[in-house]
Amino acid sequence: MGMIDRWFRRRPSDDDMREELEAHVAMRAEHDGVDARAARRRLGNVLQTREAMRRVWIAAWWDALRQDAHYTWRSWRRRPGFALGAILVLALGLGASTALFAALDRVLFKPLPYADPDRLVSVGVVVAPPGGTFGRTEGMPDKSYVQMWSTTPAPFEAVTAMDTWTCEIAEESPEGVRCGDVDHNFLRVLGVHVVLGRDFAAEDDVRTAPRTALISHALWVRRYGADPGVLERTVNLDTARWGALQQVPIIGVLPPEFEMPVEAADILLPSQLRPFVPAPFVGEIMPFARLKPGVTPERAEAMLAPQLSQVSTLPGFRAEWRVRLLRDRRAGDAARAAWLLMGAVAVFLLIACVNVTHLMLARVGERRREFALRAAIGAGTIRLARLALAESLLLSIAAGASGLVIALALLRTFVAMAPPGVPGITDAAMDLRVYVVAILLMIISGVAIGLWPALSVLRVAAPESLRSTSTAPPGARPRVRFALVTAQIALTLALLVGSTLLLQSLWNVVSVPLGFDAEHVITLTAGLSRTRYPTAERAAAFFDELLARARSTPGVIAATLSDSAPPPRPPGGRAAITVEGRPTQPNAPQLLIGLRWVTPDYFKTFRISVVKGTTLKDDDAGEPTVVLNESAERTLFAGENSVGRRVRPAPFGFSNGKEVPNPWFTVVGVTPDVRNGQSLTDEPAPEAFLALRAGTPGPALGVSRLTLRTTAAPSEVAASLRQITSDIDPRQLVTIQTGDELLTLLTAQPRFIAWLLTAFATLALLLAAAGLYSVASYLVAQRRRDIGVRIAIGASPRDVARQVVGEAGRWIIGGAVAGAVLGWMGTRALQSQLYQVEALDPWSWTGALLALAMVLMMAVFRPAYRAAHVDPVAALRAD
Amino acid sequence: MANQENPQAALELLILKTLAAGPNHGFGIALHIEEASSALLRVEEGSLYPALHRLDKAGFIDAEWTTTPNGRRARVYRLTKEGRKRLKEIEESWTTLAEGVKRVLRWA
Repeated sequence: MGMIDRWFRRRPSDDDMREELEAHVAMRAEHDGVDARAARRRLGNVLQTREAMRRVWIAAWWDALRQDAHYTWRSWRRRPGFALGAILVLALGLGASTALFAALDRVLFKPLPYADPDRLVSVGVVVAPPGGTFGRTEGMPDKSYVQMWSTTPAPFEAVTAMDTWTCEIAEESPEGVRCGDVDHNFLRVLGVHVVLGRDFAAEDDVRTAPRTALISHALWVRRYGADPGVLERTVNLDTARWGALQQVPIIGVLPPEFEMPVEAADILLPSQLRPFVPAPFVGEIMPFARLKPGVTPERAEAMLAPQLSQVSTLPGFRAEWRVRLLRDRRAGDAARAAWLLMGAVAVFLLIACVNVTHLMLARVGERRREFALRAAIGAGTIRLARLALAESLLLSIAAGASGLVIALALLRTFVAMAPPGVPGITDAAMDLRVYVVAILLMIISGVAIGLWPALSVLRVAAPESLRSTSTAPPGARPRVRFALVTAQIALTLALLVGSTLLLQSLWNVVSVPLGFDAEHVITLTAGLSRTRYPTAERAAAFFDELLARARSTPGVIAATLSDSAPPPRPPGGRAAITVEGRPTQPNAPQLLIGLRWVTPDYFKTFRISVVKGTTLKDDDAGEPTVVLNESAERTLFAGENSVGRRVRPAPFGFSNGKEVPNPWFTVVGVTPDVRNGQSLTDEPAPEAFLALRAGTPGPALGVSRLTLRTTAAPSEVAASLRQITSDIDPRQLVTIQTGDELLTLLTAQPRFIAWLLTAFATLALLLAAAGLYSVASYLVAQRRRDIGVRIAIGASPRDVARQVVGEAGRWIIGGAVAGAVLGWMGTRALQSQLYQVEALDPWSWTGALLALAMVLMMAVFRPAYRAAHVDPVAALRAD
Repeated sequence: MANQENPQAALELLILKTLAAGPNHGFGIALHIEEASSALLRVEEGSLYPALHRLDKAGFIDAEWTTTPNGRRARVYRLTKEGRKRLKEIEESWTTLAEGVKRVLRWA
């Protein structure tokens, strides 16, 4: 029989054992002719026998572990402060790491739900205006995409593209959803299969084909009750893109785990870009591709380089290819921030482990005589070291369990606080992966904190230890403990520097001059349903009345209606703009300019001035008018005066398969650039303000935003706004936000990172202070006799205190120097998160060092005071 | 594990020797030892069963529930191959020991 067999030898159940003994008693009684009681008496104590049988089967290691656990528990009971403190510190470290892993798993680690995702890339061009920076995300004019890539470019196995937009299911119980235009090969390139029905075919994807739709699994379940009969049905879709309602047959259902590569969509439609994209119509799409095996994204960029001239832009603009792994594209800026936070939490966990190691070493020091005694009376030193290791493991298990509770609470906070744009964070939950990581972290930290104490037990338990007195403790040597404190101080300084830099940067972001005034501003957003507002006139009537009544509300100075407004998001749409009298090359791709439809008071509401010409006017009869920002004027007119000239945006959509041309808009004025990007740190982009008037082809009807400037506090006006809306249409849902709220949303990411890092740094500082305090106290207690002697022979209390402070100061300085080096290396990774702060910003560094020095000196104060007040007589008499 | 000074070792030897004659249940083993030693050895029943389980766990004997000829369910033990080897070993060392003790007694 091999070892393995023996290991797995079936353990008889308790019933087996009971029955076996019962059988014995019965046979004995029968054989001896006595009654059962006598037979049982002969067997002795049945319970004890059964216990002995059971014990045979319990593994020896388990027995030993139980003993160790029992012993550890008793020693914790005697010193609950130590146990609770150590568990709490470690639980904070483990909990924070676990929660952060759970929150960021999808950004950093979890594989994407596509076949062979490491070869999927996002491809496109990024453009930088003269002197500006490159855009954040890559895209391509759909025209260039169709023309250039009618045959797949060399680095790729296949290319596909998508674009998403808002649409509405205009049926009973209407529902606003996201629609996505995709190439017919979209799912096949990603390696995704429909769970019901069929995928798009090439025939679905030509301009003349009837539209067909794939729906998401969630929509299928929610709206169609997961009925397979959905394939016989159509969905009535309403969108500004098409200019008319369309009944689209549903041909398939996407798998439940499907996610769009970027953005979200409930309904996919073939984009039908081929065989041609009409000349002036230029939309933007997002291409994706599967790399050929062995081709890297960098290599692909190089291989595409010759094609760049075909997507050339306006004079002075720079363009370049950007090919990124899909994972990087999805994570975007979040990935860097996520790594940063993971690094910070790892440092924090390390600090927690160092702190607990430190506490445990102090315990070993306290108990060295006990250990030595135990060794002397026969406990093997290995056994004692194992006891120390068992203690650390139990500590980490207790900390791991409480850490999970902390992680749950923290994760909820993270999800609530997390900035928009972190993929998957709203779905972040404690799943199996998270538990596995939590348990691994627990075991690793358990071993890490136990190893050193276990080794030092070996030393303590050496026989000579028993003879020694307290003046020469061989156990937890102070040098080791000081080294640990130094390491802690160093790591803490690195975190402190990082967090002060981020706070400084956050301050800079928050105080960026916006160019407009969002204070005392309140906005109302309403999406009108097409079924209740079937015509443009009906929708206009709703908004006209809303505007009129809002304007006459007390406390309102200005009111404007627009399709978008600056704080939260870039202009609603972007389009190529043609300048009258300037020849256009039919195939030259054009730069897209942000368009905003606004009523005249827009500028008054946001307090945006005019640098040239006038603002829009209410009585602008006749020709449609437009106001450009300075960037747009520069882009379109290259230094010439634009006021009085006419421009025309490319058509917004199709009607009956033909594009609807826009009228010419006369430029009446130019405003300064204001911040209008996705984040406050984005440089202003070119934009044009089109006058929103009856009779012009307005914005995407049904979604509009009312913005008011108030004298009263905006929150006070909110109530009357709600009242007005429900008077006009009680069924209409609206979102009301103040300008300040919208701005806060924009700074969510830097705020989140700065908040987390500051929390870690503060806790780390407290732990470092606790560590230093404990070592310094230990040192003073240990040297009581020496200090007593020195005081007895005339040293002043000040000298004594100065010596303690000086010694601690040396270690603080050592830690600070090491921390500066660490911080210097760490903050280079931080640079990308900083806005107008250098990683070596002297003020931030000084602040961090001062905070560190102050807190640590406070930690040393009490031990130093105690040293200065040692009573020499008592000290010398003791021991 | 085999330690001649250990009283458990003697019990193990007796159990293995008994089972060498054929499979038997706990009571049968106890009875056999008493009868074979002409009641000179009386098995401490309280330690018989833990000893059986120890041997079972070590793989020297196997256990199985069977029904005895008079219709009683009993856990019956049989010697395994390892058990036979083990028996031979301890039998030898035991005989050596017994021989040694006998000589010492003769000369004492």
